[in-house]
Amino acid sequence: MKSNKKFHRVTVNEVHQKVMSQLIKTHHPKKSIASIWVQWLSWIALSIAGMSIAVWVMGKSTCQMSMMSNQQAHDFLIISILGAALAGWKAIASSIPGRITKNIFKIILTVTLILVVVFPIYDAHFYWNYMNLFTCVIKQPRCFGCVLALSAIPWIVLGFLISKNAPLQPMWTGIWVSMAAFLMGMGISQLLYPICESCYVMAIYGLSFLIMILIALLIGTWWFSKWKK
Amino acid sequence: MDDHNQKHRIQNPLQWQSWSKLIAQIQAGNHDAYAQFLNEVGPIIYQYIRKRIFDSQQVGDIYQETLLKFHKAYHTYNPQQPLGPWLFAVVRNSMWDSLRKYKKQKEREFVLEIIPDTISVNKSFGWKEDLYEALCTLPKLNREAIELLKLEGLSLEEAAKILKISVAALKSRAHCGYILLRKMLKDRL
Repeated sequence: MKSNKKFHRVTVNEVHQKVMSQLIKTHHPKKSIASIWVQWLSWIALSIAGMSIAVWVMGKSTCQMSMMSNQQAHDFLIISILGAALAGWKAIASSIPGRITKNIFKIILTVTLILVVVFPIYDAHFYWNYMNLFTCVIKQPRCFGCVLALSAIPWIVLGFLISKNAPLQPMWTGIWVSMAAFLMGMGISQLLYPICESCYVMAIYGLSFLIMILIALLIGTWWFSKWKK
Repeated sequence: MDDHNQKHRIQNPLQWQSWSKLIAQIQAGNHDAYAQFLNEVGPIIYQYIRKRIFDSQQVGDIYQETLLKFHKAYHTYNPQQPLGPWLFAVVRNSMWDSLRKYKKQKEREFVLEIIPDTISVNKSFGWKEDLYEALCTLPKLNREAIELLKLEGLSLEEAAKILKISVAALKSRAHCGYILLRKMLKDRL
């Protein structure tokens, strides 16, 4: 029994020595990553800069309604921007090992996300009779493309920042990245091209959201698990 | 290092602080600090894995993978933050990843109760004669290559020298010859 134990320990030591020598051989200075605050602020700044350029290229709004005159649209905008900011933070935190967000943060994030979903649904029944979900998308494909294009910018920026970190659960990080990017894209779309019909919001944004989540699962998981390979 | 000594080290906050400083040095590219860190923290990681995994062979593999993952992720550690949560998050994740990989491998494997005969060789097969016949029908270039390498047992360099060609060309000729031979003798198997 004793001899077995001894043999076992020697084997482990051998493994340890072998791995250690390999790691030290390939070891080179690596700069520590920036703090969550810095990454988060960089994401917001770069995304806004990128989206400003995109909006400038896309041109002015053709919507006749004024967002400021509609309280519901105004509230929806605030909720989506807040949701984007919180989801962005969560995405960055999830890409750094051992970073656990506080419970109060999780509660605020959950409530905000629920509000983002519930808001148009609650508001929808007023318009349900004369608005059709599918005709919205068919009649206004430009809006749908606009939301997706605007969401793609913060997605790429955040994805690039996060790919420098080490996401332990790439799939979840990918979902948070998509959520943050989509909410930011949606918020900016709402700010520039305000939509007051909730069904329209549901159709355009709901479909965009599904596409973004699908992208997160396909590309995001692959991208954010690259550091492990 | 015995278990008691190790437990004492883990519970000592000063020890963790010194390890945090070591990671800062590792990030700066200090090889000695890296070796010291791995020698001191390695046994703790190993114990952590061993307590949770019963298969001793898996423990070694998982330990190896955990150190590799640490190597890829140490730049994400902020020396101002506590080291424990960061380190064990990496270890735990590495452990789960490895277990998932093992599970997938196990699912693909299947135990054979009876090993099937992959080939049934015809006992009455006259190897020498048929092989000789097949060799004779081979193109001259391929036949020469095989004869020198397999029948006369020369090395690649020696055979190449005799044929006045490069080793790569000889290999190519021999390889083509093997393919032709296999095709010719296929019906016999």
